[in-house]
Amino acid sequence: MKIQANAVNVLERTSNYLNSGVIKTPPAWFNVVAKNPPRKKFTREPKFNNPVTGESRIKSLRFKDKVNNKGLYKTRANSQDKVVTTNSLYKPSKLVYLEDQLRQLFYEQHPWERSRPKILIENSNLSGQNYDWSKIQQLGKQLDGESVIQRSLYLLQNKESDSLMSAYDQARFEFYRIRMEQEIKEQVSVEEAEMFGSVMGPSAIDFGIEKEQKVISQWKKKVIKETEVLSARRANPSESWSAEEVATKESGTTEEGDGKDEIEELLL
Amino acid sequence: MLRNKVGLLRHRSISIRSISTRSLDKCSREKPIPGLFSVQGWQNGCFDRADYYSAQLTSTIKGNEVLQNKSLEELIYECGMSSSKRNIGNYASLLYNLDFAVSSLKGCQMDLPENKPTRDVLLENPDLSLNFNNEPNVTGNTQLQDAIETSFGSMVQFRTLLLNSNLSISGDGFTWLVARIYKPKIQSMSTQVTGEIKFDELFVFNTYNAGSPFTMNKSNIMNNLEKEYKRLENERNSKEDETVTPSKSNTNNNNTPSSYYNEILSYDEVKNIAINDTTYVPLFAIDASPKMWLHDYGVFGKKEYLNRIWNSIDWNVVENRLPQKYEFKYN
Repeated sequence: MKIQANAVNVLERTSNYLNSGVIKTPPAWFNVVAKNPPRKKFTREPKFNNPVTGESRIKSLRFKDKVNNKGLYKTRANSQDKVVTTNSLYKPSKLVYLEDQLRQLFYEQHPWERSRPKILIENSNLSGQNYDWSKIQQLGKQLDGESVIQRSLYLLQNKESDSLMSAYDQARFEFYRIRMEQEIKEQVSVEEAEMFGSVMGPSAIDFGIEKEQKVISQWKKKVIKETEVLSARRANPSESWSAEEVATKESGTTEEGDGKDEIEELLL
Repeated sequence: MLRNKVGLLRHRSISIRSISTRSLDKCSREKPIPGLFSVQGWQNGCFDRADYYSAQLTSTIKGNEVLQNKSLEELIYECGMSSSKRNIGNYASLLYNLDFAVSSLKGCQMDLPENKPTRDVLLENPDLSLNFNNEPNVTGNTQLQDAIETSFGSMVQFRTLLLNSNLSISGDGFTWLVARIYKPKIQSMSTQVTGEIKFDELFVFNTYNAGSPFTMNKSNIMNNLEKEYKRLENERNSKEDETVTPSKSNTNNNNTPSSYYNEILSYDEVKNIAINDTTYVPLFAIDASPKMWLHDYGVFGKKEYLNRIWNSIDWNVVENRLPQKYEFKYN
């Protein structure tokens, strides 16, 4: 089927209608579309070079100058080599950003940085503020992995570092120093508040230990009881299967059941 | 538990007329520590405060012969923990801290800043250097350098921790470098016999306002009060029980966890040992009070002040205060 290109001629048609007086006033979209005219080339053209890296996408067939595993030199193309595939010439190339690689590296090295709360629009710069990455700290943006990435790119672009890794390292070390400062600040402000009379609730660890301690003390009671029973049995083994013993055993099992329930309650 | 140590710190007695402060008395008001203070800043930071504190202290202990003959350390230790004598303890502590902080400063080669730091300092990139001009190694204090490196990992880590702890104090306060000493029962037998003071590790910590490293248990004061209250209540209960049914109180005693398996300590008991059975010897202190740095460095100048403090530390003085290292052996 022929390519249907009528719709894209809307600008020319309207222009003609205006000239001939079919319509008197240009429609609202007229100037906008004139400034951004629709694309009219529909043929797919092969791209021989990768637009991102600039490398050639054409793979020429070259045989290695080495003996293969059969002890022979390969001198002719086989049937597989002769198959011509042009798919790769028409594919859009992948977008590769240096920032993404740095981000991946940073968050692999610092997985706990991901656990910090983050504002989702932080990187989109909706506030319209232009950050100056000659310094790693910014007004209106918290210090995080993104700061390290932007700062290392800045260092690289402004030739303050000779390689990407040294720029990244410098940004990272600056980030560490500030993080240390922030962490101590948080600790000290909690401490200061406590000294001036604030009463904080139990921490997560304290809470856990208290819960654990309750279970342990229950367990301790039970164990003491059981060892007492055991030692009594050892002291007088002849009576261990008497009727009395069976009765105590039964009562013992019920007690055990109670203990379990209690522990389960605590765990819940 | 502190008294063993007071010997280290030299006794000073206080009379009504003048409260002697060891290092401040040696300093001249016209000659501030070079590279750190101007004459006015020196007057504001040290002498005005010291004069005020000693005047207050003198007036609070007026007419009390016993307290007047005591050194500052003893005053802090005896009055700091009591609520009725608290003001005495506070003024003694403030005076002692200030004097102690100044005593280990020798000054540095730098000139005083011509322009005070501006708010740009807030967003400044941190300094990444790993070596500093003033380190104990440079002045030949290798023993101190070793102690610091084994306790904190490296000099950089120590410096970062020390200066950041001080930077974080928002009001008045001091950052201390202290050596930890266990009570003799945990130390080896030989220590008990000779009465030597040995430390196992160094620490950095902050005190706020009139806080003192000699009254560390203050941090635990609510727990102690609660414990005391519970003990009294238990005593009262057991007395009541004894009068009514003596046998019941006996069974109660048997059920307390301490009567069984003493080696399993509860969380509270461990906490108690960790807090109550250790003491700390101060090696040096940094004053965080804005009165110290505001005049010469301005509102945004605390970092600059701390950098200069680091360059001004006299490591010889600090090392002289260092007790012997306690060699822990797993026998």
